Parts: sequence; C-alpha cells; structure tokens
Amino acid sequence: MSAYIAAFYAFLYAPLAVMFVFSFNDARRNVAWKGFTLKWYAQLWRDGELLRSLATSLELALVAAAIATLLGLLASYALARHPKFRGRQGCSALLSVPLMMPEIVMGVGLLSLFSRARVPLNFWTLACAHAMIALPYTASAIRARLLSLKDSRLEDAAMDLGATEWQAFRKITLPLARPAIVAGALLAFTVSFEDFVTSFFIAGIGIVTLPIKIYSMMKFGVTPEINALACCLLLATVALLALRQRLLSGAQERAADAADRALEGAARQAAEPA
Amino acid sequence: MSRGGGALLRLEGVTKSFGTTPVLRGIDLAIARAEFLTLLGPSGCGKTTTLRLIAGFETPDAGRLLLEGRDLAGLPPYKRDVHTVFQHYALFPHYDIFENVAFGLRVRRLPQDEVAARVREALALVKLSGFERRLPASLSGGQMQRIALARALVCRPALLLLDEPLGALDLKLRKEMQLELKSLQRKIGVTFVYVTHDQEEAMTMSDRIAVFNHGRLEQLGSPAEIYERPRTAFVADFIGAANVLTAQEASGLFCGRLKGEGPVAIRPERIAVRYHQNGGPAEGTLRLNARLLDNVFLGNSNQIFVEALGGAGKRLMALSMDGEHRQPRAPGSPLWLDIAAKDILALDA
Repeated sequence: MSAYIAAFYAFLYAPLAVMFVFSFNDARRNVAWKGFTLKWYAQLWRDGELLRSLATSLELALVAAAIATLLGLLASYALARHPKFRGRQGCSALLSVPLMMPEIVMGVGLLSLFSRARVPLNFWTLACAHAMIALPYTASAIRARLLSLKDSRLEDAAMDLGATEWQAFRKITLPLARPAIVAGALLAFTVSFEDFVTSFFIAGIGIVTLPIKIYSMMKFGVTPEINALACCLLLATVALLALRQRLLSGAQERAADAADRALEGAARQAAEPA
Repeated sequence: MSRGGGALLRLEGVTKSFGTTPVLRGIDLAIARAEFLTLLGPSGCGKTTTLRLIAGFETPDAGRLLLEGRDLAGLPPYKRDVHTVFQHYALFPHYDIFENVAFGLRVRRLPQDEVAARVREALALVKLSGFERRLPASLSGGQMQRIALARALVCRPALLLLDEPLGALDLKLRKEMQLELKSLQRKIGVTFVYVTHDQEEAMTMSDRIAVFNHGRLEQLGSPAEIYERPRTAFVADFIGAANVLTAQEASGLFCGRLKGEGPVAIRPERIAVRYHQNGGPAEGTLRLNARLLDNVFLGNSNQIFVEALGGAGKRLMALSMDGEHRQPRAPGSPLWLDIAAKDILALDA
C-alpha cells in the first residue's frame, strides 16, 4: 500500500523534481550532474528580454483578472439574484461551456473574430481574450457563493430592515462573497498568466508573454535557465495557492461557515417534527 | 375590533399564483392596531405567502394591501414600515450583535449616539444586554431568535411580521418563548402578524387567529371563538381535537333529533361517557348507545374510543378527566354517551 502511494506521488511529482534538481546543475546540458550552482538563477535576472516578457505577462494577468472578476461578479449576481428571467437555465449552462472548450478552438475563433472585425491585435485585445477565457472560472466560483448566500435570505433581511438593493449588496452580499471573489480573481490571474495557446494565436507583433518566450527559448533545447525559471514560477504558484487557501479559511469565511452550519442545523430541527 | 377605519393593515381580495398553482384565492383581512394576529394553517395553505406579500417580497396578482390607508402597491420592502423576523433568523454573520441590531438604524443614517442608545434599549428588551461584541455564530438558537426580534423592533415598525420564528427551537424553549413574545407584544404595543402551523402556539399567543386552508381564509376570530364555534370541518379538526360527522353520519346517529341537517363537530371533552343508564338523559342532552373500543390513559385524563350503535360503525373519541375511567373495562362493554345539544356544533356544508 505505502509502496503504491510512493509510486503514485513519484509519478505525479517526478518531472517537477527533475526540473528542480537540474536548475542547480553546473552544466549546459541536462544529462549528468556536474555540481551545485546558482548561476542559472543569476543569469535569469540579467536576461532583459525574459524580464520584459515576465512584466508583460504580469500586466496582462492583472488586467485580465480585473475584467474577468468584475464581469463574473455582475453576471453571477444577475444569475443568482433574479431567478425568474427567461432563459436563466440556458444562461447558467452557457456560462460553463467555455470551460470544456478546447482552447485551440477559442484561439482560432478569437483570431477570426478580431481579423473580421478589423480590430488591431495589441495588448488590449489579448487582455480581453484572456479575460474571456478566465470569465467562466470567476463567474462559477462567485455564483456558487452567491447562491448559498441567497438561500440564507440575508439580502431579504437587509432590505426588510430598510436597506436599498445597493445597500444590501454593499453591506451584506459583497463582504460575504469577498473570499469567493478574491479566489476567483486569483484563478483568473493564473489562467491568464499561464495561457499559451490563445496568446500564441492572437498576440500581435511585439507582445511576447512569458509562456511564448519560454517556448521560443525551448527551440534550442531545455536549458538550465528554463529549469530555473520554471522553478521560480513553481514557487510563485505555490505561494499564490497558499494565499488563496488562507483567504478561503479567513475569519469572514469562518464566520459565514458557522452561520451556514447554524442554518443547516435549524433547518434540520425544523424538518424533524414534521 | 377589526372593522371600521381603525384597521392598521387591510387586505382586499388579494390573490396570488405561482405559475399555474393558485396560492391565495381572494383574501380579505383587516388587522387592528396593537393586535396579535396569527395566520394559522398547514404548510402550503398560503400563510407565508401572505406574509411575504405584506413585507413586499412578492406582489399580488390582484387585490390591494393598505397600510394605514395607503396602498402598498409598488413599494419595495425597504420603503414599507414593516419588519420581519425570519424563520431562520437571517442574522448577518459578518457583523457582531451590536451591528446586527444597529443595521436598520445605520441604513437610515441616524446619528451615532442615537443608534447606540436604541440598540442598548432593544437588547435590554430581549434580555441580551452585554452581548454587543459577540458574533451571531456564537449564540444559541433562542438567543439568535431574540436578536432577530431586537433587530426588527429597534426600527419601531408599525407592523412586525414573524414567520414561524420559534420553529427551530426545542419544545421547552418554544413554550417559554411563546409566553415571552406575548408579554413583550403587550408591553410595546406593536402589531404582530405571526405565522405558524402549530395550533397550540396560535392559541397561546393570539388575540385573533386567521385559519388558512388551500389559499382561503377559513375563519377569523379569537381563539375561544375559533375553538367553540368552528365554522368548517377543517377548522374544527385543525384547532384542537374534534369528532367531525358528515351530514349523513349525523342524521344517522341522532335520527332526526338535531335541528340542522348539515355536518357537525363534537369536542371529545364534551362527550360524557356513562356505564349505567341511570334513568334518562338530562334536559337538553342527547343520549347515544355505544360500545367501548379502547381506553388510553394520558396521565391527567383518559381518551376513550367508542363505536356508536346505529351509526354504521362510526368511531368517536371522548376525553374525560373523571377518575371513574381509570379502572380497566373489557373492549366491547356497553356504554352510553351524553352530549348536550348545544355542544353539537353545526358546520358549513
């Protein structure tokens, strides 16, 4: 049993481990261990093009995450709040279809859309494209939270006490949905940051994102610099994941969870005598 | 007391359907100032929908709601001088108790010192002073219920709606809270419209009870009126226990000794069970021959199930606190049932 588990994790993490180890290898080629060095990491910092592509990717991810989160919040609020509008079911289903869509299809679609509409390809078209890819992630994360809030009738209670819809949203819904909103934003950031296929299709001339840069570096083989770069990205990802986890188990979420539990308990008690 | 211009809230011909399902089929109801009115009925009878219509969470398909003579049509919940205590309290989990209670005052932008004073007053009213900095999740069900009450009352509404607020509490606490709610309502003089499916709860607290069934108002009256003069078989059966006889059963059983011809109801405690004939029945009393089916000892009383002879096997239940019924008797023993004519309650056909 433990052997199986060991094999499972080896299978899962071997590529990462190899990459990690060879990023410290004092040799040009990834074939044999020649000794420990940090020079590949130092070299990364001197590679101006690489750093520029990193900056591009970060900016792109920030803009895309902001757009995707805002639109996702509005869409999921509409879907969760107003159950009666016609075609809501269809809308909810259509929201998650792009999640399943092969990205290459989206890439081709976007490219033909942009070229048909004669939109010049630049940073903003790419940011919009990334936001579009990330939107289903943010919308579904936020929608789940809003639906559970709706069940607890907190907005009804706020409006009953004299709050306008906007006050109820700002004072009740928004703070309670914040962990889901931030989690959705982080997810959108990651989706944009690591995107290769779409960027490859519709990046205009002069926009080199980090994944595209890495791809072009790979044409000359997997160098230790790439390993080092990948390790840096890995650490950043782990940090981001940890941040997300922290947010989701933050104080507000704990309080909200406790309230959810109380509600469930109350519902159970109410159901028992009936 | 509900007639005339003194009504605080008036419902006129209110109907409501969800899709093709009619939920309310024309409700006329006037609620008096400072009254404790209970909407009572089984689940799905329309009582909660009525409450949501008053609060403004639903709009009627037809009919009007008038609060102090003013039509409520088109007014959103936050513009109505009506607050609700929700079934599951709906306290705001991210605010402490002070901010929960202060919520309605904050959205009205009252000055800070007035907010503080009124929150303190409201917490004292529900006996939870000192809980200001606790979070709702750390309270018990009964405490959450009181906070929900304080949060609604602190805004001094003209009308307070309560949607089965005690439904989630255990029986003992529920009994305590019933009496507490009633005395609180008397003290502050706010009009309460209370929704419950528990007839005992309705009897305990209400000035008047509106009995709902299938989207109709079956009967409106004081607890005593509803109990002693139920108008329909549904009301007789739903409020307290009753032996309900169809018109046919009644005429078969009493062989034309009744004035009316419709269905009737007889309360179990109004049936006197006798084991000896002892001459005839008293003046104004009808006597039936019957035999014993079962006798259940309930502690303070006995529930006696009998079958009336000549009634085509109609089972009746009698309830007696007389110690005579404690001694066991064989099923099938003959006995006589004495029922005063005035206790045979004529129902609408």
